[in-house]
Amino acid sequence: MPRSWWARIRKNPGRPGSGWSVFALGLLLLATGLSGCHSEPRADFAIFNGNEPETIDPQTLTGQPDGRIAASLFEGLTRFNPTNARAQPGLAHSWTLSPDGRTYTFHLRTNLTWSTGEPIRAEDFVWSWQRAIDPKTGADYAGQLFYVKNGEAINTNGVTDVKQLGIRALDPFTVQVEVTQPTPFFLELIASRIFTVVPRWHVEKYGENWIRHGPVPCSGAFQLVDWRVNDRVRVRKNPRYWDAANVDLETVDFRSGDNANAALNIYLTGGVDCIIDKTAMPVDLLDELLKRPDVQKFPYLATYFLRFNTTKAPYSDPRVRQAICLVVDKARITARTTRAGEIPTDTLTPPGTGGYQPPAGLTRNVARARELLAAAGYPEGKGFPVIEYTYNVGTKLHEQVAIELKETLAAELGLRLELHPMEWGPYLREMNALNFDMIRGSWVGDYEYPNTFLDLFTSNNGNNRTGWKNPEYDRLLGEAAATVDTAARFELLRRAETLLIHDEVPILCLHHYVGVFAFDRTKWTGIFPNLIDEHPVNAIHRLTGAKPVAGGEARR
Amino acid sequence: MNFVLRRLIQVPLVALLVASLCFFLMHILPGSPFDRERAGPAAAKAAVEARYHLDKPLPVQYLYWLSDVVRGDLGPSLKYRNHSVNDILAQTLPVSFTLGWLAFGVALGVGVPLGAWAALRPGSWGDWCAAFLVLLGVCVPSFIVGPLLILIFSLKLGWFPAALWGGVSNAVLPVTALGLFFAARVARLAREGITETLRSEFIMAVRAKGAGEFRVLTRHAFRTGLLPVVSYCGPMLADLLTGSFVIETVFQIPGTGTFFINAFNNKDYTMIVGITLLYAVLLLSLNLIVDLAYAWLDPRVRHD
Repeated sequence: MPRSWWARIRKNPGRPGSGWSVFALGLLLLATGLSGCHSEPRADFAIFNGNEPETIDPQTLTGQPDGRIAASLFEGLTRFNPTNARAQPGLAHSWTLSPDGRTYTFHLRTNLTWSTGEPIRAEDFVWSWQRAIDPKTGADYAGQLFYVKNGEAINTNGVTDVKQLGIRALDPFTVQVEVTQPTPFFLELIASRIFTVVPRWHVEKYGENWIRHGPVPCSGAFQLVDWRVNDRVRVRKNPRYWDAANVDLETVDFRSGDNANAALNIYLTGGVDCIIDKTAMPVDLLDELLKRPDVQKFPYLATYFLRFNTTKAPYSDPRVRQAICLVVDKARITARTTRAGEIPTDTLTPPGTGGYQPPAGLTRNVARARELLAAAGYPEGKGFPVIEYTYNVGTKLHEQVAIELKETLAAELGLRLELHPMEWGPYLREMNALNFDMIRGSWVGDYEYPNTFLDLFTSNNGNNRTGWKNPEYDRLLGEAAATVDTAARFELLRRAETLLIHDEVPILCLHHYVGVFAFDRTKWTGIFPNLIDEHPVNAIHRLTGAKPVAGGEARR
Repeated sequence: MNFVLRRLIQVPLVALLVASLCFFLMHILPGSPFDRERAGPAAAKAAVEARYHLDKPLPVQYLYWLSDVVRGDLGPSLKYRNHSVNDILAQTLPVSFTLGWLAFGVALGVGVPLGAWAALRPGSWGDWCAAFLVLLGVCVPSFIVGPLLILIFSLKLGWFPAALWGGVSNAVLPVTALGLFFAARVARLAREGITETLRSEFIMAVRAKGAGEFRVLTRHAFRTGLLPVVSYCGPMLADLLTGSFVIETVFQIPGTGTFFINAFNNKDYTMIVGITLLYAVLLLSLNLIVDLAYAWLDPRVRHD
């Protein structure tokens, strides 16, 4: 029967209701579907950039992937040296600093134009910085302009006139900036996104979404071509950029996506030339990947730590906090769990940040921990409440760290840790509301100077989130800020950090992060490891006819 | 006709009701979409919240939202601040539609013939093989099938790209991974439907009247036996067209599914409510079409 059925259905296709017609319909769908696929030529250089950018407006963005794109489109008075991330002349060719260290005078290049041809003048900088500090703009990073005179007062609505901000145009090619106190890292600070110059007339014409109305006048090495959500942002070389002669790439794609395995697959099959974001590397494979010649890790200005809720007993007792800090085996966590070569640490500030060496913290000492816990009234952990440890889900890493902590605290001190995994939003909310016993935290430095870490734990800092308020700590940081001499300043900062990580320990520091990137070093150059993970795209060059450098050909 | 008209009016009303419910449910969740790990100045957060009317009482926010929606504007995305929800949907829906459409083709193109083939030889080894394949297809989730296909056909053999969206070659692996899962379900439904029908009395009657075997199958058995497949087509198509989160994530495809899921974590109210509204309209419309197709295929369910 079946054979004859087939034979006959072949002769009479297309009858309504027959299996054949449904099959034909399927083929039709296939054909119409395929017409929706289009391929396009690849950019000169494609970067896997991490998460989809929230915004690429340099003054309101916060994310690192967002910042990389914005940095290719907009430039400030200074820009980052690609090798060490120190400031080098950007749109300003030179500058002078007054003897009291409070007034900078920047001299702009005279040949500056926007990518659309209009001239860039000192007034544009004044307006851009005023836009950044104006509370109506809603810039999350406005705090970076608090170093500029009146910045904080304007942003917190104490002063309503943004013209009071300490930046002035002396003439079309001279910008004068007053800072509140001598700020040794100021030139690096103003190389970051929020200080870049944006086109006033374009922003005023299109409002908040000006970046989506092309052609966008750009001040950086590239101009925006188009932006396909959750796919890629394409930029093209800006021929009017002052340093265009040294920009090698004609087009660049910033690919976005949040799946590290997919990112690696795309890289391995040649879909992108470079993975630049650490989140785009699969954590489980990191130790294996790091053996490849095209994958490189480097120290990164960021620290993984845990916060104690110091407003809640028994964590209000420094001896309890110290005891917990003293038993955690940080080297074991980095070796077994994080596995990318992170540096175990007892300090908040990574060693060598801006030349600063942090003081000694609490090194592992289980016997001393037991004594302290007993002294606090909990010999062998008896009577100690269950510790609620909160962390955010999304990466397995935090859970693995939590399990390590749980095991260690149970084994060494007889304490019970209860895990509270949370989604990102609730996690932030619990942290801000001090609704935890211990909570996971981390901090990425914005500029290479110890203050980017130490300022967090002043009494009124919005990111303190431990309830710890220490007048002596605040006083030491204040005194350091007013000290011009670097050695004396660092000594004051060291005394403050000793309070933070040795005496009072409102936080438990675990390790300093490492950055990781991947690209074929026989084909490309211009991406260098540096502490703040800053890799300007304008510095990336194709190596033509170059012999393979040390490390040899990267395996596919 | 009356029935069709009534159903057509129902679609937007029910969809709006669903979206409104979603709107209020989302706002009951505590927290703000602008909470960040590093707290910015309070003024910044307040300014942004005011821009999106989040500082107003909930009923007022609802009226703002409603007045935009009836004009076809789903509002700005609160997470992707340079894009409106309309803009994101305009970019991502064609991708999800293409992917879903192709997978729908695979599901029917593979599922129906496989099911019919098995139904015509019940109890044979061929039927068992088909049943095994179907079971495999239903049980192995796409987040395993996807990476497996990538490993074999991209990383090892180098035949197709491992991920991303663009040319036809990009579509092969994700469409296969997505389509096979649904093909298995379709095959199962088709086999059961046809087997059942072949055993029914009216088929016996048709045969008794002397109809040829071909006519029995095509005009009667398939037409009735495929009804379960047809009714499954509505939800399946809605499911496929709105984007598969897993497949889009595994293959890094810029479709709508990823945005829908991530919007919950991001508390991107406008995005969630907008996509919910869209899904509701799509599901209701497809169900309507399925009901009409039913009426056409099965004389017993004719409506006025």
